[in-house]
Amino acid sequence: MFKSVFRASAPVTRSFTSRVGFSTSRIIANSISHKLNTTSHVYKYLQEGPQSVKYTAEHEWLATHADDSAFVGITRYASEALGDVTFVELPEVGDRVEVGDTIGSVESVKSASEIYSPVAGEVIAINIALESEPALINTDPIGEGWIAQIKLDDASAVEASEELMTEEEYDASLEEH
Amino acid sequence: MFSIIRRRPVSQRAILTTSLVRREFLSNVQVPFQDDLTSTDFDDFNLGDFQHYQESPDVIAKRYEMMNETIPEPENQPYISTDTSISNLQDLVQLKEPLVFQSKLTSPYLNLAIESYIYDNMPKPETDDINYNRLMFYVNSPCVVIGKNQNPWKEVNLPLLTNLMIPLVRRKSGGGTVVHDLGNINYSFMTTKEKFDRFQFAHLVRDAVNSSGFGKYQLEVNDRGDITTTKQEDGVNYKISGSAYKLSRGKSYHHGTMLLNSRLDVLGKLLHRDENKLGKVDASNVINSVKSKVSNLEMESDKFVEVVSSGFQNVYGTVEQCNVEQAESEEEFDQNELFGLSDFVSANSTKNVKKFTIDEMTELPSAIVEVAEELKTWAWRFGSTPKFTHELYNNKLGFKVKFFVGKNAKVEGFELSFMNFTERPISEAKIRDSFEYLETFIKDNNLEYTGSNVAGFITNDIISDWVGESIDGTV
Repeated sequence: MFKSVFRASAPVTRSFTSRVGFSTSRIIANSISHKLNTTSHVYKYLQEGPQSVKYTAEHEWLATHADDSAFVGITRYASEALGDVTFVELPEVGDRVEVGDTIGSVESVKSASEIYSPVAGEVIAINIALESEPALINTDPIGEGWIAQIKLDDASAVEASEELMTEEEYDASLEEH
Repeated sequence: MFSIIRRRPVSQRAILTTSLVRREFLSNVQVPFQDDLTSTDFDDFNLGDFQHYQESPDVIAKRYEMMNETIPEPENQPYISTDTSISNLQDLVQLKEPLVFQSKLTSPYLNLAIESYIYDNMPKPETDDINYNRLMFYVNSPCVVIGKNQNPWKEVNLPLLTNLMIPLVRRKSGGGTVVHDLGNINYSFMTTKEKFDRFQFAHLVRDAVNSSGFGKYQLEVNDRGDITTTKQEDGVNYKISGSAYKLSRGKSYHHGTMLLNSRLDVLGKLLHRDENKLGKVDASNVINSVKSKVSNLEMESDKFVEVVSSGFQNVYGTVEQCNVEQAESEEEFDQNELFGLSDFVSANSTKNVKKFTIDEMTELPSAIVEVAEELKTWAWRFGSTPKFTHELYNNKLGFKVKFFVGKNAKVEGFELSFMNFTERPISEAKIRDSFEYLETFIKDNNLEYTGSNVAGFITNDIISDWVGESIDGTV
């Protein structure tokens, strides 16, 4: 996805103007960090930090903790491609989700973009801050811009999943385009 | 799919020397002595001499004239296959080639559901260099369409809609509110998520319309992806079409509403809200429309479909080799030369795209009907509004009421406040009394935020009518 973003080679822009589109934004793939923000709630949720951070081809990230819960959000790559996020639709606490189910959507520059759950489980927390500050998705997508926390049905499924990529694999998948 | 009918004008040489071959392809052109003689005719009727018949210049001129009537230039007939009766939409939507659909239905719910269906069933191309893009056109009967994450109470003059019996529709893409009527046309361009681009299709529409010369204005595309006129004498770029987008797994669409001959006066009124009468709607988390000055392109709807389909075909159509070309080398004479098709074959940039029309005769899959029903529900159209407050001002009675509307647009509470009135037509105590029943009811029950629902629990008729009228015109 978002392949066309990579055709350009101008310097990275961090200004989320309405001009930013999938083909008009000027982003260099390897200049984007997809590391989890270590000062965010997602990292500090448990003292020892998340056990793993994984990524999907649909540009979601998943940070799994020792209590078999995982935070889900969208990658910086996706957030930059989407542009200014002006609205976030969140799931409800208590919602059951299967792999691939829609768990919300973000609206940016007149685009409604679906977010899919990379895991199966139950939504145990949602990031209410996004309701008043949707731009968190742009400023800190892999951190304070998390969307939902899901109690995993089967934590081992995350390690076993062939769909989920490591950070290196995800970055490499972006470079392929 | 390719048809010889699309060829360039036949050279004079071809006409004069290939009457036998020509006969097969121009049998619809009947001119004097344009006969279908066979060798049997020659023998049986002693007509062999007619083999040597040559048309007079007048006949040739007549033939040209008739050919031009019956065989339009490619510019005038951009697509080849127009199948007006679709027997099986389920199979069609999965065809692995670019397609154009035109719905002749005018129900906004059905059209949005058909759009959704075509989108959901669009196959994913196996490789990057091919496309299974879809282009759909539809015209809706009058309605107001809000974006996925908008608040109808905030965007729309609901009492006026109720009065005029114009439906409020919520679409699944982002963006702002638009008014649809039979004078505009909606286009929807579907492609992969990888190829998503906010501007590409708007540029295609702009170029197609500009080069056609049929529009009243030359068009531009602005930063927001809107299609506008060029700057007019008054310094304004009038908006002709807004754009909205949706991105899902592996696919995306860009759709827009093109103002061709819409009732702009009505459009303005439907979206105008006088806060003194209809109250103030506040929400921290909602998508607001951007107001723009609009104008009509004053182009025929069919013409628009034609030029934009043609643009789509030129960019995304599949190149098909005609069988004439395949035979080329083996034949002792060059058929393409004979047909006057050399230019055509060598240009080869000519692309094809199938176009299908959906009308009353088309059997709609149940999935479409289900989605249309879902789009009609109050829960989707109004109920999926993010929480908000709605404050109504009653200047005659000197008080304000502020409704707190929560998830699923259920009334969670309200607040009364009173201005300093020396002589109130109805006393403050009586006004408070009239809201008591409502207060009790919403404590324990879900109440959808409609005028008639809320008004029904207000015991004073004057206040009740006013509240119902202000919320959405239902009392």
